[in-house]
Amino acid sequence: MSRDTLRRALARLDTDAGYGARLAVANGLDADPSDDDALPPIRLAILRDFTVEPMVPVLRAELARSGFRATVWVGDFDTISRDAMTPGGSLDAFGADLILILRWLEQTAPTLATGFVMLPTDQVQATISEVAGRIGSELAAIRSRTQAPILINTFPLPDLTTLGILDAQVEFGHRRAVEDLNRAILSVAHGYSDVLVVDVARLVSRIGSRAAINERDWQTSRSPLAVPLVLALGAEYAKFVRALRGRLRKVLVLDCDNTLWGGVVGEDGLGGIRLDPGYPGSAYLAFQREILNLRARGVLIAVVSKNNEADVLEVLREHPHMLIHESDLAAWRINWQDKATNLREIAEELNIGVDSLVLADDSEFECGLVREQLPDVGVLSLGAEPARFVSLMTEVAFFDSLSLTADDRSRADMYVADRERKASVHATTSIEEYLASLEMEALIGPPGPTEIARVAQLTQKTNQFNLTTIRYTEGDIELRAAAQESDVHCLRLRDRFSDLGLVGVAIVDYHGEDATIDTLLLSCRVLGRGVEDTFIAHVAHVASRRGASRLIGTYRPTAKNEQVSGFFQNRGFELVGGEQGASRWELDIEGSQLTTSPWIAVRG
Amino acid sequence: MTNMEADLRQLMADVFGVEVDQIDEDASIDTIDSWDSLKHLNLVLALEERFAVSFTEQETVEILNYELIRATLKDHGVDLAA
Repeated sequence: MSRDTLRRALARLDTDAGYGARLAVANGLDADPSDDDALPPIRLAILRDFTVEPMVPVLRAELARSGFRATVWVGDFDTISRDAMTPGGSLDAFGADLILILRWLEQTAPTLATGFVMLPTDQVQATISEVAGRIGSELAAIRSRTQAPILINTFPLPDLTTLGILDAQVEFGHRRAVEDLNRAILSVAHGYSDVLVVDVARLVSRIGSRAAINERDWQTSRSPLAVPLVLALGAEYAKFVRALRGRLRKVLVLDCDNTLWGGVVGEDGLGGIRLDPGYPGSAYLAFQREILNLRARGVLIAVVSKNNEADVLEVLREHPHMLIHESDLAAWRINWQDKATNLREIAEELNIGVDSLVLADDSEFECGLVREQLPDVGVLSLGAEPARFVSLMTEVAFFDSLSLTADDRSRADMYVADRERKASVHATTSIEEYLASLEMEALIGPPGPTEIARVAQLTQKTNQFNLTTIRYTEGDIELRAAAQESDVHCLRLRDRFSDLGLVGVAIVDYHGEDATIDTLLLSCRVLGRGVEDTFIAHVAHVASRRGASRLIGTYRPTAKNEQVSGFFQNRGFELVGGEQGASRWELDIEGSQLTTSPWIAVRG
Repeated sequence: MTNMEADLRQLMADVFGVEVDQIDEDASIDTIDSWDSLKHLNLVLALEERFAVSFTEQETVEILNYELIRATLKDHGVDLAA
């Protein structure tokens, strides 16, 4: 009964962007406190100097929508420093997975907020330094007791100031002072591992401060967040949680007619579709440009369309204004099958789960069908106004992540190379011959300073070829890489077609004669090449050199890593036990028969 | 009960985390345990959004029971009985 209440409340979020809909979800979560409904728990602590309570149900609802059941602890009013600096206090007792610190300028630095014209310039600078210093001390105190990621915020820029039109004329105006403070906050954050900045100034500027800030409730209850900001901020924190917990979408799957261009190519023909620089073509072109921007930050692009394949390919290849071309696509399904089937096939072709896909489609019918049949697929219902497509897509932020590595920038190209590679399989006779023809080269070694982000990202994003699925932050990886008793092995791979980048991670802990594999994962883009044999042989070799005689591995099953359930068994490991569904395996390194793949040359 | 009145009751139930049948005409800050000053803030925001109204400073501190909420909404041109 109550389970249905929660499910109905969550479904309502697809079409209702309001506050009431989110209150209903929070209420549904409380009415259904069971924890066996596949919503993994997460504990959030909030330290604050203003009234944040109206945002809490939104935060819980947005997290439930992203698949988490959040338990939220809110510290006392305006006690951030005390909460941060009391070892064994309420914050420690709560045991947070994530710590949010929320500050409001009027509380944190009242002179800067409401007495700016009375402050001499040197006092302005001193106040900025004092606030930055205070935030730094709190972060240091928290970091000394927990590695939980900490989110801090910027301040909205003042848009009503005593100086009025003069503010923009003077060198040290009010707005400029808050900008400087925000910049100082960014610098403080960069000094700590896993301290991230939630840019409230950006959210308020998007909404407009008149609509974002609630003057009435600020005075009556020290509650400055108006509904639009409450909604935006709750959603923003959920984006951080998704990124930190590896809930990242990887592929944008696009419809064609009335999505990439105006009109229906099958009826209007190549010359009849709207895709010229005037409206409405201009709006579709702007959408295409933003899609290519996403591609440049590592999102794969695919197409599903109910059309004759030849018609759509002709547009991709021949249309003079088309910005997206065949060579930008990682995969496509252009046929008369239903979209759910096509989406499943695309996921299979790209070797990823359907929950990595986002479908963007103008048809509410198709969107509803996919939500119904493939609830794990992200759905972006574009509607009928192409001028709004870009902001719709950017606001839902399906593809937000917390890093942008060199690998991200070239990922889309690598998948295209992969599609071409597969096309060339037909020219060779055996799979071994094909693999040999790729002329693969692996470089295995510890992570360099610029690779830490990529290693953390792989632990967060890799689901299929991942024996233990333990998620790590950049700070965690730095610690492990520096530790005497551990090795972080990174595998970089290149072949005849492209440099595939850093695609494998193994973390090994040494204790006496034992070398224990804490993490072993491979990016899905290199599966089926025998890379794993080369990698585990290398891991065993290094372990033996470090004096270990036994290699110990754990397989921890998840919904997605079934394909590696036999990994240890197939390589001669012996089952020695296990707990909570996980199995534990041992290999006597000396007598083992680990074989490397002869078609991969190893360096490093 | 009109649809709007049912909506109001559901919304209040969602704000206070109670079953909808606990929200009757006598519901007030004295009869609902979870109706505290913080939940009251959420209620005001939710009411303003749902009925597209903007309460005055005075009204927000006054609407502490079901009857007053209904009357104040009516002052803003929202007649739940209509």
